[in-house]
Amino acid sequence: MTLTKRELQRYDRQIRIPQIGTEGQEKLKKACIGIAGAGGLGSPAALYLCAAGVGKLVIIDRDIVETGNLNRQILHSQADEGKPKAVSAQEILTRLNPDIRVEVRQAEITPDNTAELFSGCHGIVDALDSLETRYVLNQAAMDLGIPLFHGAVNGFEGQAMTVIPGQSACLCCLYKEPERKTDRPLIPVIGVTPGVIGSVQAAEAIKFIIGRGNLLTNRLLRYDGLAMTFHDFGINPRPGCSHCRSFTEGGTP
Amino acid sequence: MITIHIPLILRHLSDDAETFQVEGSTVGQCLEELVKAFPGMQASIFSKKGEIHHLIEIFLNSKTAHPDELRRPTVDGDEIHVVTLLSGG
Repeated sequence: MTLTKRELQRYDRQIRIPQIGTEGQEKLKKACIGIAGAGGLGSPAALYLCAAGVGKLVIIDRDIVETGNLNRQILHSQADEGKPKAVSAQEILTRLNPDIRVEVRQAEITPDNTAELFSGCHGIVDALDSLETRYVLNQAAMDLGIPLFHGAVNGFEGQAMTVIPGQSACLCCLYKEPERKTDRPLIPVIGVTPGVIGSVQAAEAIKFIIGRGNLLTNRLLRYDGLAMTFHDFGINPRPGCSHCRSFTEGGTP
Repeated sequence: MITIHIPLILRHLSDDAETFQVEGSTVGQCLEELVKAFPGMQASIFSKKGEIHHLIEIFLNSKTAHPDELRRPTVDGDEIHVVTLLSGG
């Protein structure tokens, strides 16, 4: 997929990165990434993937913009209050980069619709705010055989991990109990935390697309914004995991 | 001595201490010492059955200690990270 003259200009500074180059930029142009959630994590992830020239973004969010979202959800502004987040996300991303396609779905993610929602996607950014839906997303990534770029935050703390189905530990290996119902309390957060973690998720997606670097597979990256430390921890695929069962039962992860 | 790293979310239960030094020959003994010093952490780290809470991950020297976390042997200089798994977005 050849780059246009305008694209060569727009992406010049990143094409100059040896690990990207024209070849990497063309891979980005051909790629499609799904973003589950247009909130705190989804905002920076979508903005950076859009700016980097990922050819197609599919953004799923069922919610409406509320004033209480605006300390962290930088896809939306005060004037968007009352609009579906999917709509305001599409507006700002299209203004940022009209050369890419931005498709949005105002929908709840359920086990019944993931195949349709993420059809054609090469990877999914987990920008959700609920453990239960994360399990649905994790299972969808397993079923579709595409990576899941996980992120989560609380206050000044954040975490990220990348799941490559059949190759690395999945979210269910980490969280262990997919069946447990969880409450959805209002989780405190300062916008810079999803800013950091959403950017890590976008970086992981870009690295996966261009096929360079080391992904956060079998590693949980933790960020402590008060101590200002990053630490990564080794995670193992969990034998008997109900989501990546075929992988772990297949032998040697 | 073994160093236990306390996650930010639980530091209101440790007088804001980021780390706590203990002696113990297993992860379980070390965590018992932590809870003795900061009893408020009991319900956050352990389930009612005395197992590690399902949203807590224990890392020994930066590698997951799961499964059988509490029985993992520890030696002088080891580092235990108590990590609360996050869910906000």
